[in-house]
Parts: sequence; structure tokens; C-alpha cells
Amino acid sequence: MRGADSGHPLRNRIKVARAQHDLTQEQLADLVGVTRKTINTVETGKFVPSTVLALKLARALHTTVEELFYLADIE
Amino acid sequence: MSSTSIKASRARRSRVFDGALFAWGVAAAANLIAAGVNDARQSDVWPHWLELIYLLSFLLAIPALVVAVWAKATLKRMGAVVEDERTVITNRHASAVALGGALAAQAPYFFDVTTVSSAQAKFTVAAALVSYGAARLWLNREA
Repeated sequence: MRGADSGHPLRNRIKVARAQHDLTQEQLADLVGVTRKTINTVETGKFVPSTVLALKLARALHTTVEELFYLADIE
Repeated sequence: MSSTSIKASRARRSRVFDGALFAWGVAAAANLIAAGVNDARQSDVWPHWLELIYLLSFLLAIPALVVAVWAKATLKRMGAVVEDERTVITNRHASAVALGGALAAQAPYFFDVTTVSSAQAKFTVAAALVSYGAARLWLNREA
């Protein structure tokens, strides 16, 4: 469930992208069809989303998956 | 109804669901443990304190389960997402912890601790319930 499974902690810019689009966690959750808690745990790195959810998040935030998610030791 | 009030209503209902489910889990585990302790005593007479725990937990478990089922059904009717990939994974992990809890509850019986099988069964199910609930609470925590 955690983002450090492969030794590369997964980080994300969801909070920033969400703020840019003036969206709350609940609004983003409604857009991608998950619970608000899921958005919260993805943002905090506790839960690594599936590829499908990552793509949905990127689409909802008008960005790409690579822009939204990155590996901590690479950037 | 405005979208803000629908969201507030959903959030309230969601809290009711979480609370009712928690209350059901605690009450069911307490009920099983009380019944198990009484079975282990192998006496026809219940001590008053144990009977009180058994009765109160039973009286709490039934309405809590009814409220949890009702809250989940109404949440779905309101269009709220109650299950997604994270909840499925959480459930899977909590089930694995519950299995561990049920196995751990057998440990005393490997060391010549003896009790009637009905008590052992109740303690096992109670341990699984408590482990499942604790794991779910831990995995569902927010930052």
C-alpha cells in the first residue's frame, strides 16, 4: 500500500495541481470516482494508486501522469 | 437540495456508517468474549457483571448493525462512492491480519491450556474481529 515498495518512494504533486484548479479533495474524488480518503492517502503517499486511477487523476487535473507522479530519488 | 448540502449530508452519513460499524465490531467482540468466558467457566449460573456485558453488547450490536447497513444503503443511493481500489486493498490486508489474529488466538492451546471447544471458537472469532477492526482503523488513518 505504501509508496516505497520498490525502494523508490513515489511522490506526487496532486495537492499543488488540485490547488491550481481550485479543487477540494472531495471534488477531485467525485471527478475520478473514489472516496475522499483515497485522495488524501494518495496525496500523503500512504497509498499508491493503480495505473487506471493515476490516469484518471491526471486527466481530471489536466496534466500527465509523469507530471503528477515521480520517484523521489530521480528528481 | 443544493450540492453543498448533499455533500454535507453524505459526509454526515459516512461518519454514521463508520461509527455504527465500529460500534458493531466492538459490541460483537465483547459479546463473543463474554459468552466464551461463561462457556469456559462451565457453570450454569452467569456472574451478574458478565451477564450485563453480554446483554449490553448484544443490545448494542443489533441496532449498530442495522444502522450500518442502512447508512451504507443510503450512501449508495445518494451517489457516494463507498468502495474503491483502496478500500478493496484495505479489506484484503485487514482480512490477512484477521487470519493472523485468529491463528494467534490458538497459541495458548499449544501449551496445554484447555477449555471447552465452544469457548475456543468464540475467542477465535472475537480475536479475528478485533484484529480486523484494528487493522482497518490503522490502514484507514489519515495524515
